[in-house]
Amino acid sequence: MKSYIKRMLPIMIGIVLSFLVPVMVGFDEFYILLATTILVYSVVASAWNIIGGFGGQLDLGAAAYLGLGAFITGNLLLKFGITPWIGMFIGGITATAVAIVIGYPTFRLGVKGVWYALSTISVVYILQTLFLMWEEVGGPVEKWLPRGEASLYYLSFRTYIPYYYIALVFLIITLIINRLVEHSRLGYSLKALAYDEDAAMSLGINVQRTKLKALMIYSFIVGTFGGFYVCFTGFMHPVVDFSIPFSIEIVVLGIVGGLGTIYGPLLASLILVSLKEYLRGTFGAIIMGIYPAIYAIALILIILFAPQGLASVLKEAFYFIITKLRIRTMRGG
Amino acid sequence: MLISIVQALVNGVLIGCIYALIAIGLQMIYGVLGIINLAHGDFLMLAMLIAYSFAYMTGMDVTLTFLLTFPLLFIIGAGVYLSVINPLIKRKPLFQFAMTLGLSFFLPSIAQVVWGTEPKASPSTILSGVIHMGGISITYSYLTAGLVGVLAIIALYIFMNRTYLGLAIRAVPDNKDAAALMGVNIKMIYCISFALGIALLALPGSLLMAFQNAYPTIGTRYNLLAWCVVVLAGLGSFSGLLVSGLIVGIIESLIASLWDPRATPLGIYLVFLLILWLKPKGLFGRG
Repeated sequence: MKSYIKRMLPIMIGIVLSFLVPVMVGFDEFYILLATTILVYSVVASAWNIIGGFGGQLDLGAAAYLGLGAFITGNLLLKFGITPWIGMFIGGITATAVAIVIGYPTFRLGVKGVWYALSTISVVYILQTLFLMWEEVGGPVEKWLPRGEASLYYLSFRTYIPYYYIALVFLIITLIINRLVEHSRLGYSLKALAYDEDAAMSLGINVQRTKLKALMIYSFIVGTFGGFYVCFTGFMHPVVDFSIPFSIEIVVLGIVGGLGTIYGPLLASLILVSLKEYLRGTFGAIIMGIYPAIYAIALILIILFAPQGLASVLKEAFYFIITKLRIRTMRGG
Repeated sequence: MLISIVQALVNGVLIGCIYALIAIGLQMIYGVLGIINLAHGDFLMLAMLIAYSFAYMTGMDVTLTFLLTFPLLFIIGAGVYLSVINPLIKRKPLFQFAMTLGLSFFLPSIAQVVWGTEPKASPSTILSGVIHMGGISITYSYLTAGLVGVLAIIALYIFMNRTYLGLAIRAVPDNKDAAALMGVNIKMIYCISFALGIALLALPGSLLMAFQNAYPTIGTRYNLLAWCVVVLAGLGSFSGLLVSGLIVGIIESLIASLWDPRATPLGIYLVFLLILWLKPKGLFGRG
């Protein structure tokens, strides 16, 4: 029991601290917006972790599911006045359905590794093009969501604080799902096939079904989150919601964070997205393009020098400090 | 109707030659080093903008600037290889892939710093005329692009099959250890292949500049399009690139003229998905 409490303590502190973020920044709208942006990346990167981190499938389709959720929720709200709370789930289910339609033949026909990555990113392109052409729901002009009175029903608020808390709840749920998957049959099968697909198959793991299950969980989370995302940004645009750079960034965050750990993608989004937003704030107005360049250099350096990811670097640093402290206390005592 | 179809076919064939040219470097990098380069289109963007700058500074015709951009891109390619790819060469392919993703962030932003975001059009070129044949009109720039594309592929074929360096480049992926025993310097071949793969973008870069604008984010479009051509041709096939480039070019221009110019990615990437699913070895792939 005591070790359980000890283990849960950092998580509890993390949750309490993250709930206090708006207070800590003094309810400053700008910083809360930043924090919410970081949460957006964290949620999608953590959801990606299920298929990409545990299962080793380089899925570059995050924006496809996010965009589907965003457009379905947004259009249901605009055309029929359906609350985003319901729209989200319809978006999530549609994203899952599309993921199955694409994923089933992909896994069935044995498309894997980088070919899987290429096929998923082409799905993002196809959906982006479709929604750019389909002017009733998408089109090349932004469609703005109604932003009048603050209302929970329309998920429209005058401040970013409620968005921050909703995104935080999304993140906590995503992390719990991550945790549940990690210690389930699905999680162990995913880790096995990430390591060696043929060996996993010879042990009786149904590789296609395992991958498809992971893809379904991932696409449902991201699709549902897309419904929140569209209310957070306040508009729909095919190039913004089906964004290829966003898809790529999620995968890079996953890899840079450290594959196969829950906290890896989370740490990577926390550290790198805040770095990016900090750089944008500092240099964005001075020289165009300098902040993504520095951000990209940071990514490149991490890939070069920390192949196991940020998570393992921090872990090593942590143990290094702990052992140093222990030696010192031992000497002292 | 018939005229417009013929016109679309002619345009598709000519633009297809450029696509084949773009894909050659990618094929070489994948074929020799086994690296999935998702930043190839961004290197193409770099080639276009450098061509623009040379044309602007020296006043020479933009289609001829490849003479200057080729060596410069070779140096850039070698520099990129030695600084960020070579340290990862023994690691899992995942990390090399991640590195090219990192490059696909880095290159557009550095281009933005150097050239700014607004689209750059080249100064007028000698190739701005149009030939009329029957009801069909062909712009000189497309025609040159097509001819140069075919010539370059033939030249590369001769280089790969008749010269020592070309044979060494082909030998390395077949059997690395045997090639090393025959006195081939593997690291050198890797570096040269990567640099050459990037430098070969000088040609399509200069040719595209004759009739297209260049801006830092144009690479995103070609990052995947180049892969589409390579996957369609099959890995390891250089001559197949010409055919698959033509197929992609024709699909694109037929959709653009018969249906809707905005719908071209739809056709290309649906074909791409089908090829990945049904014929992952491509149309002319080895093995």
